[in-house]
Amino acid sequence: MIVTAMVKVIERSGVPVAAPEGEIDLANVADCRAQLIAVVPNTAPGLVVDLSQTTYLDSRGVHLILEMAERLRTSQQRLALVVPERSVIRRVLLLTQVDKTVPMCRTLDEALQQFRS
Amino acid sequence: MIVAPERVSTKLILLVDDDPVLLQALPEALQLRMDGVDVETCDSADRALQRIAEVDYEAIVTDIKMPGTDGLALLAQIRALRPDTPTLLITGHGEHDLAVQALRGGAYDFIQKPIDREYFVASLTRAMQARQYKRQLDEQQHTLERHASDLERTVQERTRELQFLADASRILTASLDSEATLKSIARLAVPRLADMCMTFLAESDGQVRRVEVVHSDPAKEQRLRKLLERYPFNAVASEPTATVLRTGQALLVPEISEEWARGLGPHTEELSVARTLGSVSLIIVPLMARGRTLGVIAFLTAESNRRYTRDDLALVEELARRAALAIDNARLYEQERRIAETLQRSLLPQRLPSIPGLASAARYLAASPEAVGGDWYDLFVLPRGTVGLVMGDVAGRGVRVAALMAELRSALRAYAVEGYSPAEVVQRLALLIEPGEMATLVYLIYDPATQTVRFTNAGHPPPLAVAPDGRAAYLEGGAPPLGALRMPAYHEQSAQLWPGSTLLLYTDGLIEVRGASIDDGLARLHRAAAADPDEDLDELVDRVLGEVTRGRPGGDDIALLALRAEIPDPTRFHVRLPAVPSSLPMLRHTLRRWMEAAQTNDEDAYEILVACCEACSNVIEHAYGAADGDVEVRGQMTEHEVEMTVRDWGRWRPPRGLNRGRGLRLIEELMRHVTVTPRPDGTTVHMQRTRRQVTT
Repeated sequence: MIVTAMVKVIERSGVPVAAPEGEIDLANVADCRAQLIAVVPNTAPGLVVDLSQTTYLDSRGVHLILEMAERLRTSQQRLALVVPERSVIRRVLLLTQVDKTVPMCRTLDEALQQFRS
Repeated sequence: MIVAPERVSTKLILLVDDDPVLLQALPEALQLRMDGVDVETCDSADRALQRIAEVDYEAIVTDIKMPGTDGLALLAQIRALRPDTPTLLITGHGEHDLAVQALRGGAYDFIQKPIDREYFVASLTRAMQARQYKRQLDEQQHTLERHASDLERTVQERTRELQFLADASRILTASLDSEATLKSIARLAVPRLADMCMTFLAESDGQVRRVEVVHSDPAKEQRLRKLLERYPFNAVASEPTATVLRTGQALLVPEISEEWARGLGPHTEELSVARTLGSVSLIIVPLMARGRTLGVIAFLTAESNRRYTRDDLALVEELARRAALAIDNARLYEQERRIAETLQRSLLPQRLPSIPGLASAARYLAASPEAVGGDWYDLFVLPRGTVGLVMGDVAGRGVRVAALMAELRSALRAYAVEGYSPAEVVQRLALLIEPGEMATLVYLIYDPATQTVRFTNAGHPPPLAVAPDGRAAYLEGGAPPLGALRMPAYHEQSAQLWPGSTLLLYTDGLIEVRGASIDDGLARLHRAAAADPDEDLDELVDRVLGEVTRGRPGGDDIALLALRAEIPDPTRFHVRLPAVPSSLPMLRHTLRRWMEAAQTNDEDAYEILVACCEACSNVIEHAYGAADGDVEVRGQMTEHEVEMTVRDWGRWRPPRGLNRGRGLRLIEELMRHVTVTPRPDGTTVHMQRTRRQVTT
């Protein structure tokens, strides 16, 4: 069985918001990566990855987020994450110190604030 | 003008009388009045009898009163000796009594003395004419009889030929095996049509083999076979059989002569062998169908000394025509059957996917090896840990049916993985059905965590749910089969199963047993499944198959699929999965169910989940390379502690890629005590930590 990662994309104040639904692991991380890269136009200030509907994330997902951050930094763009307070994946992101590199916000509005400053 | 006298054979008359005057006078009188008549005379009955025995006279004239044997006694003897020869008696004047006696004794006429010569001649002429007519009549009768018996013989011959062709046709239609067919034809031809018969078959790769060699004498058949063993069929030889195979032209040799055999050319060993066994005449016919020569049949005579004729050739050509058609049909059929079988077999899961926490078993019983039916089943894992189950049956048999089955199967999987509901999936499948096609199917989504099913049934027999305590219920509800209605509407049903229930899906072949109603079949299935619902699934499906069909399945294929969610043991965990990425969602699902059963708090559960999946991802990426292998996860849970091990049977290579090390660091963060033990036969990751006591 191939699990296709469902990445929902919306736009808020000129910033693309990508929300992967379900689980991100070895089986679908490549698919997920391709979708995330595709949603950021060169004209956008950056990308919000909304993880509030993501139910599983391990080191492959962490690596994907760090890689995205690196890519956007290179192109003078920015990345912000939405991770709700009670999300189960929060602890993995903290343990791997993702929050040291990428702003981790509790809500989407908070994340969008990152692009106004 | 000279008219050649007509050659008329003289007619011989015998005159018997003891009166020398009369013997002198009467012949003269007759010669004068009649043409082409010779008269022989005799003066006593005894001498006359000798002559009559020797000569077939046209007529006999005898005096009635003679010394010694008289005329009446002579008449009696003539009647015995020459019943067809007319006899006239000469009586004295007024001897009416004698005249009457003579007529009663079989005389043609009587002549009274004194003899009226005109009357005598007239009577004699009539007698001879009557004799002539009788003779002609007899001849015609004979001719007719001869003709009739000729006709009879022809009819008998044709009847035998027709009988032979009818017997041959029976053999030809009885089997769809070309080789068996040709063997039977050879057996049938000997000895009715030939003393020896050999059949040859060209295989699809162009190789030609002698399929059968038959001789009317079993001892000679042995010898013939032994001799021919040395000479496998040689398509380029001058052998008459090879020539017929190449040219497609039948060959009739009524008389096999030395000159003919010599004129053939080199390499006629097969013919030489046949000739050593005394063959005198032969017919070889090609087996032609759709412009191709499929083989050859050779008929030879020996002991019977029979010489083949054009009539025999016609019969044999008719036989060959029918045989070729049968072989061609058999091959086409075989080809189609093989395609259908390959297609159908490729659609059934080689083995059911191993889903942790779920036991499954399936059986497929083909009704006959010849025809492939349209039954299929499928079992696959859906996102979020649910399981899709399918049981379907496309009406009919053969390649078209297998093709539709393939289409439905892949479309169903595609829609199912896309996340469509059972009703949406079935509704979409209905659009794939062409007019005239028909299929039944039931599609279920089973959630092992909640023990619920959502399903849509399109005219398929209802799935059966059996509880561990023996309660059983059919999952009723559904709509007509795919293809039955132009605008069908399919709806979703759902059911809450008893914990630990077994689900049974099947095709109608299971419940439709000859001579019993479907309701009987359903009742039998219900009873059989409920009898021992706890047994191992493989044993359960075998027992159910046996009990429901009572060992006498009907004419339809049977497919049976059983699924059961195991109730997890909260203290122990064990799964073994293929080391492929797609095993990961399955592993997480099973781990979550186990930890739920063990009442692990959400934070612990997530951390244990990530740690185990990290370890498994490493195995998938590093342990086996491109080769296949398994990964095993074991777990033990006590009140305060959890202990997990992940092992493989591969040889790790140094980590590469950007992710190196991050996974293991994460595991160490999550699990406190982590040891990695690489061995030549595999690596074990052991992880241990205490449980958080406060449920958040």
